Amino acid sequence: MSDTPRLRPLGQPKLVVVRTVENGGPTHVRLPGKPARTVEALRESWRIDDEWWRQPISREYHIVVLDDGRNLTLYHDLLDGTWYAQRG
Amino acid sequence: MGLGSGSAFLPASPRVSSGSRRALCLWLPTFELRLELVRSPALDSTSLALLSSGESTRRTIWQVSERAHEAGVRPGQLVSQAVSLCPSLTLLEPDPVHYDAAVESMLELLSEITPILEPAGRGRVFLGMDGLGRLFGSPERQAKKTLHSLFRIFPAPLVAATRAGFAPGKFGAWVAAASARSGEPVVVGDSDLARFLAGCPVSALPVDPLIVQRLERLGVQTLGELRRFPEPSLISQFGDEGRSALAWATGRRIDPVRPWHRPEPIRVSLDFPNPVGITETLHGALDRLIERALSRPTRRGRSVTGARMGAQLEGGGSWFVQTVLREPTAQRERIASPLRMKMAIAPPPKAVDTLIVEFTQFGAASAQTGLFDRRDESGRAAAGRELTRGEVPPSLRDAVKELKLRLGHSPLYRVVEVDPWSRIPERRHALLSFDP
Repeated sequence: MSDTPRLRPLGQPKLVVVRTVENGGPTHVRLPGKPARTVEALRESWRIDDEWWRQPISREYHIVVLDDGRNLTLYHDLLDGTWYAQRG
Repeated sequence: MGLGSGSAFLPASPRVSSGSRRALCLWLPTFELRLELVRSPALDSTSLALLSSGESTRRTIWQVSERAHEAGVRPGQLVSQAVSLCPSLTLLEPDPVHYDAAVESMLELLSEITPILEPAGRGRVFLGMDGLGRLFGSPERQAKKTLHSLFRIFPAPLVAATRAGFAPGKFGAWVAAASARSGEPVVVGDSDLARFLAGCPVSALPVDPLIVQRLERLGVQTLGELRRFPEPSLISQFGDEGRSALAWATGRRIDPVRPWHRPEPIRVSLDFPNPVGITETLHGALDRLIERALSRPTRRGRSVTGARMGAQLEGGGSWFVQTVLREPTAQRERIASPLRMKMAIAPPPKAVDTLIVEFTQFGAASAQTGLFDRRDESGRAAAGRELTRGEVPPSLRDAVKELKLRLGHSPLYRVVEVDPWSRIPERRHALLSFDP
């Protein structure tokens, strides 16, 4: 029986597979264990560059509307090229 | 004429996993008014309107007879407006108990034809007709036989006014019934569904009425016109509802008739020696009736999720209100409170001869105690305030102790702010194990 308080992260990003157009905008998204969905609309995009002094973070965020009507927040990790879905 | 939300909508797929794909819709417009005419045939020669149930001041018209309609009376009008348009108008109080009894007998009768029945309001019912071809013959014969069976419980004018539509899925059957003439079923085959739907107005779509309005403003009047749009454009305009609308319009979406299950209600009633109009007396009687219903052996082992309170009124007529409880319960006050509130909004229009309480929906037995003390309504809010101040309510402390004994650790967490203004979302909040 452990008495140490346990801390669990919230809003951790999930790795997703994304197909993009030439300018980098997402066109298709596949969430883990789900079929691929088409991106119907791109609602908003912004970029974060932070913490360059220790472990740099560079992300390009997109809020997209999928073809099933769902809103999804995605980001492209510009350092390693991977894509993630995240609750904002 | 929309099917309305809450229908069993399936994903856009021609395959149907459960329920009956072939649907027969029986529709009797102004069902309640016609029942009144059956009960009092002398009213047939008058201009007649049925009042909506509700508060006694500013009553409105609910249903109107043809004569009243010709005089300009319309559903939704205030009584004063209706009477000024048609001074000879006869106004009737609704009698929901009588109407529900008629629906019950109709469902009982129709269940002899098919076990798959799904009522949709009082005057409309869907019958699942899969596999009945060998028994009754072609779809036309099945529909006619069903209509004919109604003669056993309803008089001829009521049966003659019933419209029937036979099609794949409830939406198709409803549209077919709405376009049918009295006593002449409209039958739509699988291969004809798309062509049949093409001529229907977009107002038939079971989607958000705002979408229908927008479609009409854009000049899209029929489902055939809607089908000409590519799916991506509809999705970009209307989101997922746009996709749904297209699936309905093309006949790709088939919503099966699902068997309707209604548990036997628990019904208790109290006859007053003299008609009662005093609210406090009715409240007292309501409490006693709920206690009696809760103590019935058939209720034991089940909680209540839906209840209804009705009355037989002095001089004829009936009244009722009903509620769906937010949480299953077996406590008198939690059942009585919403019913009293409904009664305050729509009180009985006359003094009450007999008060009736019915438990209509049931949930699982629940012996689970809450994490927060809910002996009174403010218990949860008070517990929340205590937690914010760092104090732990005793009920929560006990619950955590018990869970720790069972699991070896506390499975409860509280959300703590780590860096709420961080630009990195995962840095803002975390879950900290809660172990007081």
